[in-house]
Amino acid sequence: MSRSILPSALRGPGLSPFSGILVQRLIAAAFAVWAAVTIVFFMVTLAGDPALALAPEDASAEAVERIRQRYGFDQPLLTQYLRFFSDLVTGSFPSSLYSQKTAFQVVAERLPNTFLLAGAGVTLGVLIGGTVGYLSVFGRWRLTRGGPLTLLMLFQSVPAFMTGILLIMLFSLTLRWLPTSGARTWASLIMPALTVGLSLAPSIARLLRSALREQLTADYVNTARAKGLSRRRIRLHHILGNSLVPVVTLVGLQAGGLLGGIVVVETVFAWPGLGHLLVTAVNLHDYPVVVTAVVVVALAYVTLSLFTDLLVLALNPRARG
Amino acid sequence: MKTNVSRRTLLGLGAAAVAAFGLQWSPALAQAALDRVTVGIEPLTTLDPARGRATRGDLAISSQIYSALTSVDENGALVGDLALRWELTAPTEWTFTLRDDARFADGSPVDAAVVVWNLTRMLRGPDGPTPAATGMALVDSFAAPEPTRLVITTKAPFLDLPRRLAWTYFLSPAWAEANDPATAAMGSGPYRLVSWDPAGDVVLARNEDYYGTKPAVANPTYRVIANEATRLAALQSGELDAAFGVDPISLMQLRTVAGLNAGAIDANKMQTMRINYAAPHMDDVRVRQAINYAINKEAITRSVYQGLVEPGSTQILGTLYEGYDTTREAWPFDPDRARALLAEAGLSDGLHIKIGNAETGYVGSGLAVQAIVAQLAEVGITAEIETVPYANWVAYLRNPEGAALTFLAWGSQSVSTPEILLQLASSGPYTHGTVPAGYDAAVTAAASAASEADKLAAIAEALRITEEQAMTIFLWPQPQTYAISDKLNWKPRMDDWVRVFDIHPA
Repeated sequence: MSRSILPSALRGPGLSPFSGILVQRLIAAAFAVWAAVTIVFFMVTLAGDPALALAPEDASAEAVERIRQRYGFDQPLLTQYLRFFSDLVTGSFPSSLYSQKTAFQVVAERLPNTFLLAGAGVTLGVLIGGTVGYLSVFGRWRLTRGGPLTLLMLFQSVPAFMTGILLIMLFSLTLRWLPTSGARTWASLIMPALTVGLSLAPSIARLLRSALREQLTADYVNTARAKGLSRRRIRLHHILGNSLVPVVTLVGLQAGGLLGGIVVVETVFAWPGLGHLLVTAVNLHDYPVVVTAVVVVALAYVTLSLFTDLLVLALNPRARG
Repeated sequence: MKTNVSRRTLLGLGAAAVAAFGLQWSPALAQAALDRVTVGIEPLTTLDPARGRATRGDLAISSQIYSALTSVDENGALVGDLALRWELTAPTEWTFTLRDDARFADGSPVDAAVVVWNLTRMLRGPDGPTPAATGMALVDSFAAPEPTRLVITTKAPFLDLPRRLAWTYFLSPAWAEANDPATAAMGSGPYRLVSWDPAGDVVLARNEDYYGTKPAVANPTYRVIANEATRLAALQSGELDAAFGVDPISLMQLRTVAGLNAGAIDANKMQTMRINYAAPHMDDVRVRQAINYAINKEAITRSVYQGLVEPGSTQILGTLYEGYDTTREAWPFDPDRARALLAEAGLSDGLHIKIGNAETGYVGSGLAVQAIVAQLAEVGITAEIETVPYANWVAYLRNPEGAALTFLAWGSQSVSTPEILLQLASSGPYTHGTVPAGYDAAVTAAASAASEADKLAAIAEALRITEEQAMTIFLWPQPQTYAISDKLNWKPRMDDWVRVFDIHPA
């Protein structure tokens, strides 16, 4: 018999555990997105006056006030918020203050770059972290068990911008293999993705190492050995398979958080993504773009989080109740 | 058959061949260097010249795609662009004679009616005046009696109008109504827009139909790199051929890079600290003088600015500005005098002030402000630094309750003296409290003088009051730092314009 973590009133008679969790997560996601939009809207609008950025430098107070009236910045903050939020909910995204494009169009232009960088970074992080974590337990020699993990731990204590600069010094200035910045060719992706990957890999490696060591002494492993299964099959199929649950959760959470934290990497490598756009939009007080970008990041985060939960359920039957 | 050729003969022949080869290929190589030039630039916002603000950013691009009536050349001289000549036809009326061969990329003419449409858009658009209307408050009306004749009337004499119009660029009305000028461009200037990515590359191509002197560089690229360390790496790796506004500390590193000329000239912009007269004690001239005496500019320019600049004289004008006074000297460093003045002002027990500084924006200001705070402490002034994100800088400056002093560099895109002096007047957007007597009148007289002699006299008077009343904390010229590939014949400008058409064939 399966049990759901949803209250029975919300569950409904025909809801499977997957559907129940989906409904619960969707409700939480909607709340999270609303909270993010609301907090960011008030932070951005309270942080400065967009009218000043649109007026001539020597504009009189009256001229600035006219611009405020024109854009509705003179309205009470709550009125501005309700108008902005209702526009957002109805899908009629407000225009950027600096072009005729809607804020969503501006954000959508940058989104593929950020997804590409985040995707490549997470993939590299998983590959590096997974390999090192696996080697740290099953490596043949002491050096292969301890060396890569120690090296990787160094990156955990180095901030991403520093890793980025070090990579530029090595690959662009010394070896001259890769371009320093931009997104002109596929080669431009390597260093930013590696920077992201190296920031994720240490925690993945450590978590996988702990999980693998925990599984090593489990009864089912002894049973598998007793059944005469090959060492390779026991390690890859049984031990690794059962160690993946916490790792998948971690990767899912990190990937979601990454979308918000990728600003630094995008700035160091002049990568034209969402983080770069956010910095520029904040500087210009282009609040429709800032809030829309935050909505997109929040949506991506909750989607990834939801996907992670479902993946964990799929990997771990016990989590289904 | 064996021939006897000595080693010396062989070496000589070889050297001759290399020399001949080199001579033959040098122009080709030089031309290849000019075909593609990549320049680092600040983050971009818009292509619309009516809305752009940054001379090192948006306006640098717009200024090469669009035409203006006049232009300030690399030596700071005012020259014609669309306007062949201009004259004061009445004390408050300027008449511009336009060339008849200027065309937009679609073949439509750039005539006086186009200028009128653009001025209306900038000064009287539905959103009110745009950033491009800065410094144009005296403009009253404009008319195009003939395609090549433009008449602008002003509310008072405005001798600097032709200079001010040097950064007013013109769109095609028909094109602008059908397109978004913020993200696309169709101009009449020396370059055409190939592609525009405000966070990546802006690619231009030489406009072969340009009415003026065609630029030497065929296909320039402006590359947006906001991060200083990444920009340095791009210069070192050769990805960038030039970048400006490099941190003075980084120049030492760039000077060791083969193939790069890195250095600094005095910018036509003075770094100062603006005084907020509304802050406690700042309306007392003795306090303002004491602060000027307390700062050892020599020490700061030698250390923080690596000797790239020297202490500036007691004026807020750079050397290219009309009325720049060559006889003025730097405010002396005299901490004893500073203490005495503070005591006279009843502040023997000390004074506490705040100093505002933009997080980014003024070369070297971060370290300089810290050094100033330490020096002020020596005379009994404790200062607290407020570092303000650039996003909030304008709002911060406009706040009368802001810091007593704020680090600022005064400059004008059109190198107009009245424009600079007006910043310190009561009408200045960042002025709070009561400005010393006589200054407003002198600046108004300079801005609306009917003759050059009257203007110069009024400027001299304004400068005299500025010094006598210590209306600002005089510091030093902003170092105009640069790193340029030695393959390019590009003379660094004293102003902030980063225009590839200033590059000449080697």
